[in-house]
Amino acid sequence: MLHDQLKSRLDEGHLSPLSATAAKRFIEGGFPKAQEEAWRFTNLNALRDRSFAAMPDANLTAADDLPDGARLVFYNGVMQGHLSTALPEGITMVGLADDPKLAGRLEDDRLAGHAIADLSVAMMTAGLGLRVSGQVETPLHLVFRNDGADASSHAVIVIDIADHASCSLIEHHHGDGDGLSAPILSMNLGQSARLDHGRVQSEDGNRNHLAVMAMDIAEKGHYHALSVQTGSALSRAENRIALKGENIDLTMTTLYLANNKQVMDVTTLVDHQMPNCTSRQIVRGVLDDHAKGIFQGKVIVARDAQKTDGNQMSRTLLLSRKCEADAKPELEIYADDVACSHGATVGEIDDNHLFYLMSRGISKTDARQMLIEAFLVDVLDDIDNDVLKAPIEASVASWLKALGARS
Amino acid sequence: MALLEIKDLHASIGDTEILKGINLTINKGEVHAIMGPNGSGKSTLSYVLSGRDGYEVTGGDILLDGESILEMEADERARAGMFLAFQYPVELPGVGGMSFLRGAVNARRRDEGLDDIDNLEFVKMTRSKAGALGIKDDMLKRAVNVGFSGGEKKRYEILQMAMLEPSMAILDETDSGLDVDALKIVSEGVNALRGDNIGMLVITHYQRLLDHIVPDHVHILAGGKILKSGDKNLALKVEKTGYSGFIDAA
Repeated sequence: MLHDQLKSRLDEGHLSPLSATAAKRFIEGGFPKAQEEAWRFTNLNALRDRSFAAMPDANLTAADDLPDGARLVFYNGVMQGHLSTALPEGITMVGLADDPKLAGRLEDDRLAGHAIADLSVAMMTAGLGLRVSGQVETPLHLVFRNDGADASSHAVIVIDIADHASCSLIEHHHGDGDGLSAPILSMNLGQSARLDHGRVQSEDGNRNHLAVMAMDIAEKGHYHALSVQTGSALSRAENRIALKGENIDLTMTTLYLANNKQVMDVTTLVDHQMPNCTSRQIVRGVLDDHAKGIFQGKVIVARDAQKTDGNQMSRTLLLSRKCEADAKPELEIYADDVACSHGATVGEIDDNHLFYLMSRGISKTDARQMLIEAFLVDVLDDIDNDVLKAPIEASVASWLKALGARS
Repeated sequence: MALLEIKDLHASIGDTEILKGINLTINKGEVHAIMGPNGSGKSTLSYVLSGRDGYEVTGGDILLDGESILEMEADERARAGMFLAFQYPVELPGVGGMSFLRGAVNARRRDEGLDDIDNLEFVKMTRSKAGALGIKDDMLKRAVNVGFSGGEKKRYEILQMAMLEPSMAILDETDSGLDVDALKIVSEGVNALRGDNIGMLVITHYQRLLDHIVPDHVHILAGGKILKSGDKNLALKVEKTGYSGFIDAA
């Protein structure tokens, strides 16, 4: 069990002080229990007794279908230099052990104490730091490949984007087997900096994927994210974001597509600490078979954060009567001059829509497919960044194709 | 052989019988109008003919080209030549207009054993037919019916009819929500499609549509039954006396 593995590594003194502190917290708390509010809908009981083991010497000799362009490839959480390319100009890499300032960000209160973040910081082989300065035109792909029975993968990456810098990062998570992936990303977006962030999680249907991302954004920062999850038996993508300056613009579009008995969880915390910021969260889920979808979106608006414009909207489309959708949008507002909204809808394909298409000769299967695609494409149409969009669209298309083949 | 034969058709929604024995025969080249007050069963008839779920046919039959279509789903009926121009066309956010039209055209072609339509040919055909109906390019590029005005939606229905070249077209209250100018454009679009190879059933509450689309036969529908049939003059009579005269006489 991870718990025992950590304990012996801690006792043997193999851990860095940072990892040791995190290990102590995880050993004490373990995987979150269903009684904890943040984990009410996503039950980790099945993970507790599994004998996951990290693979510090993981080495992948070759990999198919790596994205073209600049990339860093990780295998079971360990960076694979021979599969990676040179970094784009403006991005430099550093080991966290050599950069206490970057490493220190993992002690940030949005990560430290979070069970999954603690687990990965405790288990990480070598944390990686990236520093971004200037306008980086070439997108950087972060490719995560995981496999093996009971293998656990703990990639920990800290990224600092300097004031006025900009870049595009695209994460690709793929894997086989029934292991655990717990990638941790800590980011700092400087003043007037811009990050376009794409993310695709399409791991094998037996894996467990628990991702945590924490980010601070400074004044006039611009964060634009687009992500999709289709993989893993159990999948959670958790984003914890603090808006720490004025005039920040944040847009996050999140899609999740689940079937069989998949459990898919989108959890976000957007903490407005300063005035005049805008945050916009769009979540779309499609659930089939016995799948379960969870959206927990919390927006906090501090007392000083006047003129906040914060909204979040979650819509879930159910393709079967046996799936389950849980939505928990929360607004916690302490300022009095704000424009905030939230909403969550759960529905089925509209019979009127289906009949309209069928009355034009389109088969029921094709009509359903068109309407499911429309439900997702509707939000993608608003996004004009093709670098982010292409991998997400490809992932959605392949999921829809598989869905069409089954019906 | 008649194009469409409706024989003693009974249909219900739940436990309520709406159509109570309709008989109607439409031949190729003919335009029939069905007029009737609200609640007479006009829209139900159009949905039952086009195969919408939720209506139960409890008696009688519907034959298209001599074959019963009762067991066919809406899409099969459409591919067999049936077309319904909706009273309230449905907005489909996220469904691109061009891919929708192409999907519909190709569904029909595949049924007939033809290859998918050549893309360039399709775009050319769509533009030319759209142009004749005063539909602009940017409307074609939008999601189906999203952001269209009432008149634009009706024109878009007629465009679909022109693209799909049905043998039997049902126009359900095509005049509703149209101003005089839009009514003229839509009617001209419909009239342009009239011919020896198509039968039409025009469903309307008001006579004014029939000034523009002049029918060969007019039927008065009330209480789920056809009470009277006649030529276009019957519609003029309705305009003068209202429906009550016919209903009371029945």
